[in-house]
Amino acid sequence: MRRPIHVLLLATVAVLVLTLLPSYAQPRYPGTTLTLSIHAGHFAIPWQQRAPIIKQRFGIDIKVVGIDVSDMYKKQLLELTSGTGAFDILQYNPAWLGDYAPFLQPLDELMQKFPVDWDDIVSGFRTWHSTFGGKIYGLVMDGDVLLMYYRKDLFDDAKNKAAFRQQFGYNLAPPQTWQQLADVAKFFRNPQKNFYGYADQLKRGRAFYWYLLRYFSYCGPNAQLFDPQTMKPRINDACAVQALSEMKDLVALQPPGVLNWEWDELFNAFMKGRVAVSIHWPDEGKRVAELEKAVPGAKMGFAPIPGVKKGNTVVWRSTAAGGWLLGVTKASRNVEAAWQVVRFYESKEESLKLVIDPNTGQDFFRTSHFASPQVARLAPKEYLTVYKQAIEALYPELRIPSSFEYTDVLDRQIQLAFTSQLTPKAALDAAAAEWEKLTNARGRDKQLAAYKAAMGIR
Amino acid sequence: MPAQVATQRVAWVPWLIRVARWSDRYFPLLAVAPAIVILFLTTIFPLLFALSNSLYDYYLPQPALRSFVGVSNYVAALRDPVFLASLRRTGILIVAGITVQLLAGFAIALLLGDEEVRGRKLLTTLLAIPMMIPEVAAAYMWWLLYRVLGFLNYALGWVGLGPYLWISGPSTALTSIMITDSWQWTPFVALVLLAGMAAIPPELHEAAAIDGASWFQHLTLITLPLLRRVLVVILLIRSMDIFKMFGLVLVMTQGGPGDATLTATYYTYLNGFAYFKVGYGAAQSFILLVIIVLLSTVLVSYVYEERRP
Repeated sequence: MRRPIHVLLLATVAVLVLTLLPSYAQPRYPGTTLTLSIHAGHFAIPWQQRAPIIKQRFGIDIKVVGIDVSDMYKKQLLELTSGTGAFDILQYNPAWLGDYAPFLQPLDELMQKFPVDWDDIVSGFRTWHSTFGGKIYGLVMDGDVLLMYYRKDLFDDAKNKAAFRQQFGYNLAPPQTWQQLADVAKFFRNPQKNFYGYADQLKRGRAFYWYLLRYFSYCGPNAQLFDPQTMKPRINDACAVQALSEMKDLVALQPPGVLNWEWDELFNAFMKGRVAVSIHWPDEGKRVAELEKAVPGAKMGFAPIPGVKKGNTVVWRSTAAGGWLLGVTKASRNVEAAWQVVRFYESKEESLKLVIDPNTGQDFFRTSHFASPQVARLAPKEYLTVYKQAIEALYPELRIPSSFEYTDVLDRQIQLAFTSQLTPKAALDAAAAEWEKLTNARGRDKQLAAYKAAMGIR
Repeated sequence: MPAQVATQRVAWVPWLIRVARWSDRYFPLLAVAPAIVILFLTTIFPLLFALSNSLYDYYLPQPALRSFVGVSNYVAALRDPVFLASLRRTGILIVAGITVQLLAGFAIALLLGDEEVRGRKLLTTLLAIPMMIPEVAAAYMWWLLYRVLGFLNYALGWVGLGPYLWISGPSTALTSIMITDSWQWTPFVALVLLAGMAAIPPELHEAAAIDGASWFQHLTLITLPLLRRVLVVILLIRSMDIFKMFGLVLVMTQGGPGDATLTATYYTYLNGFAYFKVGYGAAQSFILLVIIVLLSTVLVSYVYEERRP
């Protein structure tokens, strides 16, 4: 009888040792408090939920400061430039890296010491979000990218197919080019029934993202917002004017009030069956059942962003239209502890939990996310394929100092074109003139160096 | 008492007198000194600091590149077509907003001033509710109402009208902002006018009634002339408020569509706090300050002019 008791005791001790070992192996930072600047709401809540786990694992207390998304850039930059050290960890948009980089801790050395499964992050994000001037400044926390959604049931409908072919002379299919998208928008448009073929998200401050999608394909392949030799704006090139002119024509076919549409308007319009096609972030694809419930018989389809046919290929690029990174500030008094927290939060295991939780608003960004059986149960295979394609075709955000002003100026001018206060050419000429003025004010050489660093141009 | 001690005490007396005289002279100054210091630190110093910033080319993320440019920021602002257009837009908003608020406020004040109107006390209390709502909350409320799929268009749909592009159309967005501002501040105008009307001696109306004056004559020959000073005060307060309007634009339109609602204050905010052009933003805010000071000086001097016999 004694032997089994000994075995049981030994087994218990072994289990205890094995359980405790990892926590002892984990570096601990007792008495450390870290302050995090996080997008308020669905991004801040998961942090608050994980605060006890972080305390248990690292002995670190975290203080989450939730900031409204529209104020994040202003509040964070004010803190960073005044060197208060108020924040240890920042959630920030890759487009702000041009301004933030001097105040952020390069993570390369920390990543050597405390690795993070870097290669598991999809390469588009590693290259175009995290890396700036050859150094790593942040870990992706939200795999934002724009995808095209369409109503598969309407596209598969035999009557629609026949009518479309008769009207446009080719088969109804998910549009591959912007011209085909315009045809689809015309075909499905039925204002009497409050149904529209297509809609963009064109509120002031957002419209430029949807314009740049066109710009990258009309002026592609290898589209550049600036001449990489002289930093002269390319935003008013003939291809850009054509992109804006065609977009303006398409805006006229969209639902009334689309110039004030934010995320929820476009999301609801598609998910409640009021538009046939939309280009949006990955959220819809994780919530297919909601569309099917709201609109009986509806099926959601997924396709890459349309492009422009050049030769035998369709040139298209997607964009993150934002996206989020987690970085550590240089002014932090606890850089290593902050990195440990970021590393834990964005680890394979923890990030998987975050991206499959529909309440977090975080989207897939690791190869392991796409391969996960849990994700496969949540999202259709076709969606995941298109999603990965979009990340690989990602065009980087404009990551140079004053990027917010550059894009805001562009946004204002293209809205003036949409509302016919300016012609597309005049609007883009005005944007280019303002960009040129801004480049001169910031210093052409400095801006050029930042642009090259952001675009990975040597 | 030894003579030596007595002499010492006597020697203290002139010193005490000197202290008393000094304190008589300077105590009031000492008493107000903390207030002056606080006022200087909280009001004058930031103003001087902003004034000094306005003379620099200063992009906040690059403080090392801050350079003195004299009045260049002021010249640039006065040549900036977007800034000039935003000033014009603000002017339109002031003129249209105040006209609507004065007309509607006057009508409401006449109604509430009529003793035969039942429940006017309750109505007066209810009227004050919009003023109690913070600007941002009012902006969110109206933003929800104005959306294409919002309640206003839904309600208009019942009678076969709309949908209207309240804040989404370039020609309607500014009007929609003016409507929201008028909804919130017409009650203020009405209440001030009501108070002014209550101060008019009733004998004047009684005498006019005996002379057979019509309702219109009562209004134009007694009420309005005696309310002139009150009207100028309303004009002063409301024009300054509309000039500084910020929350409504920020929440409802962010200056769009295009620049249809880009007001001078919002554009200045963009330059200072979104584009971080600290010097340029400061210069614009001083130009706005000068305009507002000039406007209020004209109106205030009118009030004093009126008071002279």
